[in-house]
Amino acid sequence: MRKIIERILTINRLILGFVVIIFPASLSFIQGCSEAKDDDIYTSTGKLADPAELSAGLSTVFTASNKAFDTPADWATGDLYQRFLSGDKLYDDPRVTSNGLGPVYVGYACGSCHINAGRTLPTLFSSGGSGNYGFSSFLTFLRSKNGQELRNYGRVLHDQAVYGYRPEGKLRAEYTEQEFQFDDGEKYALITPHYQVTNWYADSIKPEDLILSIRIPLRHVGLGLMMALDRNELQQLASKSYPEYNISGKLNWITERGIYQIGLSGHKAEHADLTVELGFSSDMGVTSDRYPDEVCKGQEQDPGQHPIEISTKDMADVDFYLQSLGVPARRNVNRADVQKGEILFSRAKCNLCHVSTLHTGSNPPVLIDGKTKMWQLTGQTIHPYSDFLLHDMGNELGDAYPQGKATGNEWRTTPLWGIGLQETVNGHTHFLHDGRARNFTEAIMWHGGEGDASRKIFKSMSQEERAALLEFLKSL
Amino acid sequence: MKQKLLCSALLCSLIFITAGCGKNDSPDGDSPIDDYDYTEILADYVDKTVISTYAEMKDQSVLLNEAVETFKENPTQANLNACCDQWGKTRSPWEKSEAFLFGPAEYKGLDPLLDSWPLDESQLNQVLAGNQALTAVYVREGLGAVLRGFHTIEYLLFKNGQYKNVAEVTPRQIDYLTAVTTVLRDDCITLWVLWQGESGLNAREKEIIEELEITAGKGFGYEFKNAGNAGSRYAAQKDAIDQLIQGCIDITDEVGNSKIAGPYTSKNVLTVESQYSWNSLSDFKDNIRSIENSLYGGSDPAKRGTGLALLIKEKNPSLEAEIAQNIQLAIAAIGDIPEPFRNNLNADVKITSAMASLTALGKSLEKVKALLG
Repeated sequence: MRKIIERILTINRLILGFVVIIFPASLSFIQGCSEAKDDDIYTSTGKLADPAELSAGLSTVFTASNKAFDTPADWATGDLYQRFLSGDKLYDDPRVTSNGLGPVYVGYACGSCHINAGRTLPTLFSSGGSGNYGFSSFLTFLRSKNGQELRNYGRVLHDQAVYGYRPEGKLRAEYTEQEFQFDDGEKYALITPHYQVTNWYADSIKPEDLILSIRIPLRHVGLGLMMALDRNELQQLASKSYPEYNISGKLNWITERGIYQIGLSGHKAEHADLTVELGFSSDMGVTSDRYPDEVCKGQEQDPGQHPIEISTKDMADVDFYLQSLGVPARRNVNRADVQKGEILFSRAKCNLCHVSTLHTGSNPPVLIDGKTKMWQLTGQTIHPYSDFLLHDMGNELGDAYPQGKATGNEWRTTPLWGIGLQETVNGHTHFLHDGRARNFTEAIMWHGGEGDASRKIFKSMSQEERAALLEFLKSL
Repeated sequence: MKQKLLCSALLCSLIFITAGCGKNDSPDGDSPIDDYDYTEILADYVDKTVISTYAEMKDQSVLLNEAVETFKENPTQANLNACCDQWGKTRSPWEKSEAFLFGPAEYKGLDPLLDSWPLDESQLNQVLAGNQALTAVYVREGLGAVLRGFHTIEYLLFKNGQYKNVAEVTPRQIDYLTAVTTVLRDDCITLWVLWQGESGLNAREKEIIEELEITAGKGFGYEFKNAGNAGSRYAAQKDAIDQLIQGCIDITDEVGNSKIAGPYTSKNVLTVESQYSWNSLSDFKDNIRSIENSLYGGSDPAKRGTGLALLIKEKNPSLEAEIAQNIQLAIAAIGDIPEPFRNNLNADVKITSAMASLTALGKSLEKVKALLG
């Protein structure tokens, strides 16, 4: 079946190229064709896929196992599959000191914090802060309140270190719990985090002088399709507003590699690429051509001269791996409660930001090697359940940490595709940027600001309606 | 008009190209099995394969730690040899568990804690050259995942495929061995408890689990067996069965495309797992046995229960026979690679033959997905 899909892609690519040259105004037609193409996709069991199942067009994969986020799209065959495997191995294999780990770091492999390309249970909850096993599976962004650079520290707190070095500090997380109730009287609770940095290796910074933003790992679902998104469609979404619900999203614009462009990846859409190079450098302490200096350069623990520890070619393989990952198909799409939940999702206006259907454009994403073009990702109708825009989520979720055009209260709409499988893949249901929501219900009830209208509607629903909406989320 | 024609042409092409790809993956034209009651298969898989394998590993890890304690008290060559033997006896059930690395092994990070590879030799040697007291608490809380587990112990016990000479083992290395085998024992007990639940523990196991603040309730095994019922993350029994099959496919892929193909392609002996003890090929064969145990109803061939293979045989006898044959062929082909693997990365014919046998096994296992629907 893979070979057949490869042939479809080749034909699609040829026709797409032809159309783009001959009929520049006919992109919507191409999208229409890709929808028709979706109708012909078969599951791994040989059944014709239900269109409602298809999360990501030809990149949809039909598995609900622990590998649901870590399965290559069907088009990754032959040499492409070999490159996928190469990137997967580089992603998962622990870095050791001889190939660049440290001296200070956050995780020892991409896969330490993203097991199965997902979201490793943050040590915030298993260890009450920084972990003990060589990774913490969250990032602590630091900045001083007065805007001055923090001497001896960088953008991120490196709370792990190789033997002979000291972690820059350790994060301690404590939570207070408060009980609330829905309009029908059923109770629910929310936990509010309280963060503190302890064990500073150098200057101790007073909590009142410091802004901390804690971010748990994002699931690496659909990253290639995200990079291939039709930017015009995103700009159209950004031009819309729903004043009756106080909803008005905006794009983040950032400068990456000297180019001012739309940011897409990261909790605040603060990056225009998939941060492979940044991840190796900042998260693991592995130097590269783009980031040749250790992250602790100029600080008390600067180890001095060192070679480049990972090549751009290897990192491009990781980039390829990420962009080739499939998106799990939806499950139980014909179940009555799931279908009812989808209607309620719209009734609660969740769909205004968690937009169900988007399209990838005609321009393929280019990997960080500057050469590889991901044609396979173009011309697809996809269902990410996100507008990839920034929305003000209120003071409840604000972190006072602006990035690009994103203010402290603004966050990128989380793509919901695959979210129903997080528990199977990673064993937990912590959501939101710092994982404070312990389940879907809590995540919804944390929505403030532009999400407040939806929160109120959900709060007013009956228990049965809320349950149906949650079943819909589990089907994603 | 041109657009319309082009679109029609494209659609025709797509329909033509894709029309045949639907049922091709379904072996022998069997229709998928709907609404099958997998209760017995899931129960025997959990009890007779998974928990049984982890129980064996746990018991062996206790003996390993005791052997190291004995060696520490009386550091003779015989006692060191006993540690090396016991490492192998503990290692084998771990490798036989790799067809079910999902669940607690992943959720709680126990896979990397037990079996992180490659080993950070450079950092490990720095730890050994340092003066930090090497206690179990320090190994558990002060060192990362890459400085504990099977390969750290292997590095301390073996050299060039041989048991180390007792004269080579320093008192500090013995301290590290003691600490790291204690932590390994605790991790093995933890993994077993997380699957089987908190009941049925002896006093020492209970004490260790309490010290580590592990809570397991009825265990992940209970949840797996009760797939489709309230409280299980598996919405349907079939989801759990799919996970069982996926686990088998994953380890087939891992052995063929990573454990063997990685070093073979790079010709880098340092990437060969279990290279200090030259146990690599035994590891790989045990990995394939974990598939056999998973599908055939238990880790003990004399006490096997209802395995998924029985259902496969009922629905498609030739597929079951193909799987059974490909498992044995894969084990044999791996066994045909000259020992030690690390010194024979140029054995092209044998290695590519083993990789091909694993590819064939993987394809057979993929057919099970189509058979079960």
